[in-house]
Amino acid sequence: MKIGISSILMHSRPKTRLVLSVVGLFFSLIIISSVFQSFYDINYLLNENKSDDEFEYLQISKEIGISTSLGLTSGSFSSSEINTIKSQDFIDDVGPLFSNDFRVYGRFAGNSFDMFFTSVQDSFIDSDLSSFRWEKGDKIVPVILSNQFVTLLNHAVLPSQGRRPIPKIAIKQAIVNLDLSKGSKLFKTKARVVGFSDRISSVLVPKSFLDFANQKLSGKIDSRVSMLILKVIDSRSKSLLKFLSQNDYEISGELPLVDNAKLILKIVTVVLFVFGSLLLILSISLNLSQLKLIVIENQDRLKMLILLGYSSKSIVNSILKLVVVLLITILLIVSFCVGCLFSCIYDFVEVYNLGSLKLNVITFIIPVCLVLILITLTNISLKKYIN
Amino acid sequence: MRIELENIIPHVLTNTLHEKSDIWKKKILLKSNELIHIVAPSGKGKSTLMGILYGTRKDYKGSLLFNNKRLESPKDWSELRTNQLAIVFQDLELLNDLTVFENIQLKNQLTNHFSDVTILEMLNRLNLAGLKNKQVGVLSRGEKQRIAIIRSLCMPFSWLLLDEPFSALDRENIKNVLVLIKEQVEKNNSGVIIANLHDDDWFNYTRKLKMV
Repeated sequence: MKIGISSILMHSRPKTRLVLSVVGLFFSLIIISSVFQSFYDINYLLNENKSDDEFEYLQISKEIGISTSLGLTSGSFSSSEINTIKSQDFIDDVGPLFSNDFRVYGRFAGNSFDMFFTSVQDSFIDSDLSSFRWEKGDKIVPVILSNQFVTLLNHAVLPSQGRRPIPKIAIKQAIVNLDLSKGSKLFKTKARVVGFSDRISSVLVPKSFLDFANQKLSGKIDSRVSMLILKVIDSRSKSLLKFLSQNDYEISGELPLVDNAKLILKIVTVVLFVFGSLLLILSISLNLSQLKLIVIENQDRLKMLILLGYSSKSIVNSILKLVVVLLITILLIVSFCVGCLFSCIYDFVEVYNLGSLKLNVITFIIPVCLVLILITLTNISLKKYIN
Repeated sequence: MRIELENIIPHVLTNTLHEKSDIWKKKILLKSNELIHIVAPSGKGKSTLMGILYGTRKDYKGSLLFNNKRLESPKDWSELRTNQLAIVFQDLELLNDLTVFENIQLKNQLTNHFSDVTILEMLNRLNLAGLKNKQVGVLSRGEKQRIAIIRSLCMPFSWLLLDEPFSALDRENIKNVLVLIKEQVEKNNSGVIIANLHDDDWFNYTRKLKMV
């Protein structure tokens, strides 16, 4: 029968304070891990609108006023206007969004609806373009849908009709019959969704198809540019917003407002991080104080163990072993809880098409590092107290 | 193992005359296998000497050598207490909230000297078998003394230090305890230093030292 030195030191000692300090450590580790993961997720969501080269994309159109309604001014962008916009310092590139000059009528699963097509050069599209190709003679037109449209369809349109939401994978399988017409001219074709975009809030078709259809039905070679995609470094730039306002251009999707909300989210995360760090520091101090208290309360027992021939090193190792087992158990439970918590959050995020998030390995490495620091501090403190 | 005491005098006894003492401020060599009896009235430093020999007291002048070596580090002392020096403290140093068996096992698990069966047998020989699972705190002084003695034997010692070890024992128990101690002393081929208030014939002492 072996008697553990650590169990002798904990023998007949009130456990409440120890349990409280362990619970404090547990929650502070959960908060710290969650804050790091949230920080990572928010950054990911914030930068989702950015390309790899850190640019942001804005979709703009001309503000429709009375003069536009009366036909005195055009709602489309001219080549000179596009060149002026392109020449601004705060704008890196401009992608014209070409529109259809014919009526688009779609039919799918017994429903019929009006649509409009746009087209933009490939470099402005944030979706897989491998199937986004059309050549004259192709029977099916590839289409890229806006994610906003899918969210609206699944959470507003279909529920209002008593229908179930359609997952993206099913949307990609559907074939939509299209009737393209202008005056007496009619052209029938089919379309299939090949991707989804966060950046462009309209229905995208390949430029080759739009030019073909415009020419076939309207007889126009050049397609109308109704909107522009701006590639910018900072969508919140004052110069940019002033330029857009002065020229009566409006941003689709109220991006600055969304960015403000994201900024607030970032601030909340930083506050949480500071709070979590403070809680962790307090918790580590509390645990170290508990350790000191255990040593002080057990001075007689420690003295007796030394008298029996136990070395202070073996006593320190014995206590440290218990601390390590306890901390590893806490670490495993913390990892499990954080994993479960974020899995639930990500399910929610995915249902609402807010983005595709995943757990970052750093979320699990940080508590491991903190626990290693705590073990080292415990080792140093024990050596100091027991020697 | 040889023990040498060279002019040792505890700080608390510095201002006292020690001309008649055989130990303080003297050069003494304690050879292996010696059976040494130290007799002195209370307050003359018997427990202090045991503390100095066992390394728990450092408040003295002079030098103490084990096999010509002065022990400095805690590691050296812990090795000595595990393999060479056994002791029965005057105040016993037992843990009252542990059981009799746990108190003994606490030492034995360090040295792995006896099996559980041997410990139980020793408890039986000292009429303690029925108390093995009792908390030490509820036992009498005499029972505690016998437990402390068994615990001290749970190592392969070269010297056994006994500080008034039988003060609370009756003749019958002293007889049983002595048989057990002598067996282990003979088996380990070790020496004994016993400190007592009065003269006695418990061992065939090779030397008697006085502290007056």
